Amino acid sequence: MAEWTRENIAENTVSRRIMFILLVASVVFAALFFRLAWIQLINGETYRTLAEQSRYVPRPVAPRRGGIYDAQGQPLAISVTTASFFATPREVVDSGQAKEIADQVAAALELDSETLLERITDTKRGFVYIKRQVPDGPAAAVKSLGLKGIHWEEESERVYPKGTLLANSLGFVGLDNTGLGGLESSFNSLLAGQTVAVLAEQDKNGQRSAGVAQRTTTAPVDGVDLILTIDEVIQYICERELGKVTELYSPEKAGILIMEPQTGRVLGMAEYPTFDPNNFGQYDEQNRRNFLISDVYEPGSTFKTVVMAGALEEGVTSLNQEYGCDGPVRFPGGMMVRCWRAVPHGRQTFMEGIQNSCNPVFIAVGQEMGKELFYKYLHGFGFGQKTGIDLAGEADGLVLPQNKCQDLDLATMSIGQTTAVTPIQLLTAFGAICNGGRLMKPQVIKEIWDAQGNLLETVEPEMTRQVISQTTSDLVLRALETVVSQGIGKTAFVEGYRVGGKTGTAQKVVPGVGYSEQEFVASFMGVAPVNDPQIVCLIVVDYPKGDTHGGSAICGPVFQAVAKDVMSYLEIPAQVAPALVKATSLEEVTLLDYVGLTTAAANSQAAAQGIEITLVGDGEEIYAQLPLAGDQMLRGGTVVLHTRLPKVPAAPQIAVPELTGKTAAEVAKIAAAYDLHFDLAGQGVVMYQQPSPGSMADAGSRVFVGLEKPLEAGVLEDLAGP
Amino acid sequence: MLGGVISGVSVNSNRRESNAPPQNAYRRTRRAIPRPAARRRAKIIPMASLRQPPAAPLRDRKVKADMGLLLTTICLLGIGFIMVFSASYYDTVSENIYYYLQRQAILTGLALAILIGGINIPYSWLRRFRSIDKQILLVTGVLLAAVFALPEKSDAHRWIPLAFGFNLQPSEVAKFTVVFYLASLFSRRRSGINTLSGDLGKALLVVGVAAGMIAFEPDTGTAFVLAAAAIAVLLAAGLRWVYLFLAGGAGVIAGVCLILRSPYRLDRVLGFLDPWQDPVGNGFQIIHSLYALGTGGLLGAGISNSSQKLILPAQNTDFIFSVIGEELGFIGAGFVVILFLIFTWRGYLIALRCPDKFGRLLAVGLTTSISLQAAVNIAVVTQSMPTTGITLPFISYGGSSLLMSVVSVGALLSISRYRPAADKPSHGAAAKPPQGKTGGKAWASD
Repeated sequence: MAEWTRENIAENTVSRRIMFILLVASVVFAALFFRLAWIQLINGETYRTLAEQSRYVPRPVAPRRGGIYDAQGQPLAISVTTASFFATPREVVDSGQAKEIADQVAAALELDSETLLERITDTKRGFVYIKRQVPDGPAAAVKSLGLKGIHWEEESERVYPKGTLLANSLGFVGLDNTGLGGLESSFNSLLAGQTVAVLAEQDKNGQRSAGVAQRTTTAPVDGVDLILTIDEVIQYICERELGKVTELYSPEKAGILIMEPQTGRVLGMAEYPTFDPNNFGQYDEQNRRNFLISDVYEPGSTFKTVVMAGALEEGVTSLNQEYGCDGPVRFPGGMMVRCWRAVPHGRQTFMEGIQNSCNPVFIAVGQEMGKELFYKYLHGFGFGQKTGIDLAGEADGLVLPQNKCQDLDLATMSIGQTTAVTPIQLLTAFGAICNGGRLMKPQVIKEIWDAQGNLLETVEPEMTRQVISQTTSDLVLRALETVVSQGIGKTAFVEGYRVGGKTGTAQKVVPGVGYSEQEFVASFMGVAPVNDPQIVCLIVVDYPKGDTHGGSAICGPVFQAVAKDVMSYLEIPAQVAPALVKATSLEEVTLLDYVGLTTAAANSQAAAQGIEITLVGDGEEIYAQLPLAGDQMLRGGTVVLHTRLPKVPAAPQIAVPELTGKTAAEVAKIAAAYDLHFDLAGQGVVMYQQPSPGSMADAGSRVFVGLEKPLEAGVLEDLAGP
Repeated sequence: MLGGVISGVSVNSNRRESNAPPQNAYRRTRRAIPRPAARRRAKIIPMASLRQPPAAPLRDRKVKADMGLLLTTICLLGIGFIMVFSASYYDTVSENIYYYLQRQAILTGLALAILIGGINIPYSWLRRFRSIDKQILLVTGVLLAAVFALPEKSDAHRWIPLAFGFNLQPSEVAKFTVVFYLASLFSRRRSGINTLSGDLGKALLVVGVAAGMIAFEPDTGTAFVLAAAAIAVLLAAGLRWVYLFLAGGAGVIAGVCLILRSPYRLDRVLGFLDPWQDPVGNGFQIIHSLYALGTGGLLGAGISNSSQKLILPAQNTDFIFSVIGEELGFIGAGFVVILFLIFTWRGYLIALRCPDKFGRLLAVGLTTSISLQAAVNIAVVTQSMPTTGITLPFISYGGSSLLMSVVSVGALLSISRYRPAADKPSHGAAAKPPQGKTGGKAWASD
């Protein structure tokens, strides 16, 4: 039994124990194998999902925010790209040239080299911002250096090249590229495009992995460009005239709204107070409101046009019907409504009542219509409901419910009180009265283009409903023309054009007190030309200070100035010498064709028809006539005959942008959007410019821009536009 | 029975050798052995045993080195070579994308040279180093002490810088030399293994000092592996279980002390239990390791397609297994586990077959050291134990670890070449285990 020696027993022990160890090891590895299977196969999906989520750090990549352009394609709001520079300290340090990098970057971006060096070598941080929103010039300089560890992100900045122009309608964009008011807000989702959180994979140093497994799901979708129906020039005209009237009367607020009655397209929306959307933070919330659509007021006499249209359409009255004005109209309960004039108008036709804006006449008409018919037109013209204009924050207006309407209410409503409307509502209704009775949906957007230059949508005019007939519309227009030619609207007279309109002077409602005796809203609502309405315009001046508060005195001249320039800009031919309109005779004649005749022949033919002529120019032969042959004209009217063709229209006018405080690079950016030549002199930021901001300059003309520090004499940098 | 299967396989792979695994004697003592089986075996055996004189334990014979171990090792080295590049090229993508590949190529070349050396080095030559075991130990001690004289790197004293950016990691050397010393110590005398005043005391002193110094670097993982390998050697050498339990108790106490001394170790334990408690701190590595493994799924994302390697710290060293799991999937990672299991089996098999006690103990120690290190690494990566910085043998990037692992394999290969025939009568034909029915089948299937 040799096996039983001590040595053998020891050997056996060794073997047994090795086997034991092997057994333990096998169990351990088997356990690990199953553990691995558990993690990879059973729980794999869970970990994979979590890993996907953790792998990518979402970095929002903002698309280009779409621009807003006027009807002619002039930029009103554009987005420019600026670069924000940052450094990755680890890369900077690893390059071994930290000092050189800091020096070069500091020189290009005008920073302190030593401070910068300290920051960009702070390896404890994944990345440090060097400078944000660097304009193009210095940015390009830094980019071209190609330095290690210096990176940048493109960031978008909103620029309103025309400053305050149309600001209340445009709105503004907050820091997070979100529209906060006006079009920027109501079209935010379209303008902003789709911000895509690009999932950028990061490595353990907090850097974006260079070329390795980087992933984006989809490309950001750039925002669309909006082409407005608003024309920059018309808008400018409105703002210029609004500026004058607000300077004279320091109103609480004031606005001018111009619309194309046939289509409902808004051509201009000027508002006071306003703001510069480039620096929106410096203005009150009140300045940024778009009150023409968001605030209601009691319109007063301008509302009489609506009453007139309804009454004439229903045949309740006619323009020749006679009414009496014998002082205040009394109602049960001792209430009375006075006429605006202290001395009663006496007996007058409805037509004269309109010309005089006589309250008792309209109260009588209102009572004749009765509640039912009155409300039919109140609702028919869209009062008490939104017009549906493409702007955010529109108000409904306030209409007294029909079942609560007493005779007194009907009376006050007939003269434009009690009912609260928004200016856009009133002008939309007025547009329907002027265009043959079609209530159009007001529009500010004409076209929508995508970023690649494809036309996405042309916004077609949209009729809400037919409210009155063409006949009624013509009757009202004729009556309104006489308001301007004979009535209280004479201040609005536009030389050479047949215009119509209605003044309004409404008492403001003071909460808790009733109608104020001091606070008024002066307004004028006009149409031109009356024989073929091209524009309707509403001017509202809320609480004017000073000697006068009447719509005729304050707003009439504004309409006159605006309509004159706008019609000239729209190349609507001048029609008559208005001083010679004899509106007492409503007989119309058809104009003959004078073109080609001699001045003498024209004179004799005109005399035969009872038409007077005004010759323009000293030629012998008639080259043009206004109104055109075949047009209807009231007997006694004047035809303008040109012996020389009118001058070629001047080059389009462009509002010069505000450049003060901008850098040369920023000016260059703005220059690209203008058909103007900018002559820059000096360095630094803009100190002065000629012509001054906001003034109109011919397209292609030169704008001299003086910068902070003068250069050597004679060095001018020409940053010509396209 | 596992033992039966293993002995069967061992014979299977060396059928002409007619070796007699020691456990056969053990069986004999326990079982009634049917003689016919032994006789049948005896017919084959003498042919081989006649060629050599029976009692020549230290004379080498021309036996092939263990090809299973060699192939497994080469397989692991190959996986390592590819995966180190895949896991780490991003780190150097801006300078030299092939930086790690080039260095790993040098190391792998060296490793293959060492393996070839191991195949050709006779066991007797290896055994001769026993005579200078104390000197080897002394050099190891000097190296271990030297790291403390050098400046800290990555908050630890672990490396001695050499040329070309390579570093020597003395703790890796110590894992080999301490095992070598223990094998040498316990093969010299038969008794003393259980005498605290004798060899056991010496062994505990050496292991304690070495593991202690390593733990102070700090490199808890390596200290743990070294201690465990030493325990395996002691066990194989015949240590009484009671001592092991005592040592185990002491180890637990020491562990608690270490945790109390350095709070970061406790944080690691906590991080292991619920990594999501501190997802950007202690739990970070484990979470991303799990993400990597989970993302890999069954088939993996494909070589070089790991995403977590961008985030995962130590992705080319301690956590390379996560990258393997993500890129090669469960198929690849599971294969690596199986390779290590095969390695472990071949390693212990070499120990079992080695007739010389020194070779046997050395094989046990070295196999344990590598297998345990692999197991610990995989366990850490799979959230099966607390995080401890330890490399995956043969695969992780790291010169010292790779080379010392390969040196260990070289030694194992050298040991595998040494086979007694019927060198000891008691292990010879007469002692062949006559098998029971099952056992008989195993033999018969040869």
